[in-house]
Amino acid sequence: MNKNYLLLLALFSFESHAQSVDFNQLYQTWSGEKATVSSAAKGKELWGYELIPGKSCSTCHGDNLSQTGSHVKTNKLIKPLSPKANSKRLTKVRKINKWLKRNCKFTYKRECTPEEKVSFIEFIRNN
Amino acid sequence: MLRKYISVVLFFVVSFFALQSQSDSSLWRYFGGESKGVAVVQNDLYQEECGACHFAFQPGLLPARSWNRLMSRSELTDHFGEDIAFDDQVVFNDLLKYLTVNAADQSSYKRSRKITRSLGANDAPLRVTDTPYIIRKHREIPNRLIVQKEVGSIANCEACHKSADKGSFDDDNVRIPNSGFFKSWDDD
Repeated sequence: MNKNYLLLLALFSFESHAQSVDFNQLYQTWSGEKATVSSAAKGKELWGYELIPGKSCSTCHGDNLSQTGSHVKTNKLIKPLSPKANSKRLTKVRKINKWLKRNCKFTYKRECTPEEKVSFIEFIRNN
Repeated sequence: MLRKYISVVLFFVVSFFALQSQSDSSLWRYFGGESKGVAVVQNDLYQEECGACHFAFQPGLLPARSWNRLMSRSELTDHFGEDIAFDDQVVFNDLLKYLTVNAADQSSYKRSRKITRSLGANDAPLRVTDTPYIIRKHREIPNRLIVQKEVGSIANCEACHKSADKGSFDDDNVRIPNSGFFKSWDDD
C-alpha cells in the first residue's frame, strides 16, 4: 500500500516536470507547418537578419541565447531565451504565440510566416 | 492658570494648522497617513504584460484618464511606434482595471498627488515624462546624461532611480551614470 503510494507520488512528480508543450502539435496549428531537419539552422540564419535596418532578433536577445538580452529601445533587461538557461522558456503555448506575434511585429512590422515561426522556435529549443 | 491653559491649547491649534499647510512635512505625513513615493506594483499580470519590455511604470504615475487613453485601441496599435494590441480580452480588461483603480488621481501617495496636482483637470498625457511635475523635477539634467547609452531615454526610470521598482523616487536613491553622482552638471 505504502509502496503504491510512493510510486504514484513519483509518477506525479515526474509528470509535473514533463515538457508541457507538444511542439509538433503546436506547429500543426500554424497552417499545418512541420519542423524539418534544417529548421533550427534556418532559425539561426534568420536570427541576425535585419529586414528593417537595425532590427533583428539578435538586436534585443543577443547571439548567445544563454545570456541576458537588452531591449534596444528601452534598455530593459531580457532574461535568457534558451530553455537550458531559463527553464520557464517555451513551456506555455499561449506565451509562445503571444510573443511571436508581438516580436515579429516589432522586428519585421508584420507577423511571421509559419515557416519563420517554426525556424525560430526550433533554433531556441536547440540553443 | 486659565491663561496658561489657553496658550497651551492655542499652541497646539496653531501647530496643527501650520503642519497641515506644510502637508509634505514628514510629521504631517506621519499623522495624516500619506505615504511617500508611489504605490508599488503588486500585479503579476501587469509586470508580465508591460514590464517585459519596459520599466513597469507604477499606475500612480499617471491619472486614470491617461491610462484610459493609453489603453484605447488606437494607442495600443501604435504604442510609441509598436503594435501591442491585446488578443486576450480578459487580460486587457484586468490590466485596464488595475491601471485606472490605482491611478495617480486615485492615490494618496505623495508623488502621485504631486503629479495629479501639476496637471490640468482634462490633461491626459501619454508619457509620465510629459507631466509638469516630472518635467520640473528633471529640467536641470543635461541632455548628454540622458542620451548616454547607460540611460538611453528619460523614460528609463531605473537607470538612475535605483529604488524605482519600490516606488521610491527620492533624491537619496538617485545615481546618474557618469555624472560623478550629483556634482555640477553644467560643467560643459
